[in-house]
Amino acid sequence: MSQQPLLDIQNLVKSFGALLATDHVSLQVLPNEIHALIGPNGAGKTSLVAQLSGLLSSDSGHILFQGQDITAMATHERVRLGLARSFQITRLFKSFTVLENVALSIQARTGNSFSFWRPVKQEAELTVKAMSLLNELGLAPRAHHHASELAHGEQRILELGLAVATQPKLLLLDEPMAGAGPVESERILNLIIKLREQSAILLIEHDMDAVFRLADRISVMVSGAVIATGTPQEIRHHPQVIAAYLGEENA
Amino acid sequence: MNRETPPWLWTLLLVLAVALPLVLHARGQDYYISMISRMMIYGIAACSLNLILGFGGLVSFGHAAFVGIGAYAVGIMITEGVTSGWLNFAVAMGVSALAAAVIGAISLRTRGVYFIMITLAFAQMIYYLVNSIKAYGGDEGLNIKSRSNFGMGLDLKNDLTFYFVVLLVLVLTLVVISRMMKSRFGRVILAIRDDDTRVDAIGFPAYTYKWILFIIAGTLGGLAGALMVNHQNYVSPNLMHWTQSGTLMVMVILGGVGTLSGGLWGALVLLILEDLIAEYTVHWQFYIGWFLLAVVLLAPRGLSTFFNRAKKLETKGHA
Repeated sequence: MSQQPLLDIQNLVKSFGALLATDHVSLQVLPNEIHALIGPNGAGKTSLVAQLSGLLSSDSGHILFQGQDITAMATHERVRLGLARSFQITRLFKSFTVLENVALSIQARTGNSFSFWRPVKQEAELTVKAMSLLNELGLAPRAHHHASELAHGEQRILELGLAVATQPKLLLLDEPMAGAGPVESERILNLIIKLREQSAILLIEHDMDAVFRLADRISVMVSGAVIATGTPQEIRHHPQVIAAYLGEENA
Repeated sequence: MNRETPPWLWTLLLVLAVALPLVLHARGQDYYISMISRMMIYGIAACSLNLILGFGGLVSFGHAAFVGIGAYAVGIMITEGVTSGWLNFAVAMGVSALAAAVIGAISLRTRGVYFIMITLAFAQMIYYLVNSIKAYGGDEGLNIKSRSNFGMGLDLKNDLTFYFVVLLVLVLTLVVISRMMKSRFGRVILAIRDDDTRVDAIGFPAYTYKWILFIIAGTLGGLAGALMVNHQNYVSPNLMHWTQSGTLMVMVILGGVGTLSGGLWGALVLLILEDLIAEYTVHWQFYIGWFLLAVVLLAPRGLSTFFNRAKKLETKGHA
């Protein structure tokens, strides 16, 4: 690997009492790469994403983003640097419209939000930017609906949109297709293919078809530890991976 | 979000608020003018609580502390001979802002029930502290010999003048809150009410925004307190007691949590009922309880949403 990694996780540890949720994890995400993280339920993937996004502190080890140590940095500062995440369980601003949801995310990176007097609705630029993103997401027809009125699949897309609107250099996607039907899953998959042109992606996903279609490299996590990293071909034939996770049907 | 007091009602209220005291004054019923002033001051206090409780979704159970601090700041200054109204009110708001900055910085690190408890604990600490300051009346409270003096021919001792000063402050407070909630800052606050973790995850320091909101609410609480001590010529620790915080919360819930006018409606209705029922029975709290029950059942989002109920049901049908 001659390329400098965008994200460099070094020996990261997190334990909850006796349980080692993150067991000396080292992993690199390269620029422009889709790096998938797979593993059985309870392997510690979501904990790792929480540590990377700053919602969970780490016991030891380091997280480097573009060479900078961000291990102790607050969540919002990481987002400013270009490290954004989506959530496995949809977290939208339910009392906002779809447009307002995305506009708020854009507001975070444009201009000063300690502004108390001028109505945000007068900022045409925010609306234009938000609308153009909704067009890309295919949510434009729903722009003026409340987020709570969207169908589940559309909520999953908006969930993704909130993270994308921050213009990240690296997107952490925590099971973007969770709970979406086959049609929506296909939509999300195509969206991820489009997103990769703008940013690198660390993708956690249970849908193996999607993972093997999308990923440049795959890391396998079992019981808090990464047991293998490689190309989809390598992972498919990795004996430890087959034993621990994929099972015979995929071998 | 379309559940606010409609514009025609605002206009009607404002016309009424200007005309009524003039009529009352002409008929020599200045007592009622003073009574309405008191209601409006409570309205300002309740609206300031509604900022954190309603718009920010943070249940603060110690808001009376800021009202009390504002009142005591003015009371102590006047006792010491500083009667400049501008100075009185500026210091009252400054001290409440400072108190809110300290209390908020610590309390906002907790959530839910813990936030309720810690704000209550801080307020009670201040309550007992003020109780023990014998130099300024201790538990007996503090009488002030004169009111704040704003110059410009404004005589706060005149009930009618005082009324219009309070009305102006109330209108300004409502305008400020309304503008603020539509601004960039307000958007972030409303988003925090929905999901503060997500607000962090899109790049806002949610804690800082909550803290600033808490300070603004405390400052406006102190402003209400400064008016209150001038109105009563008196301030006592009871103004800070937790039951006062509770009363302010009842006003907000009664009027409408997270609505611009909620605090005002709540204060007006609760205080009018109190006065009316207290004339007939000492057990007025019993009847107010029934009234609160009726409001919760018939207009669960508060009185301020009552006029928009029909409209809301209609739009729901089309959705």
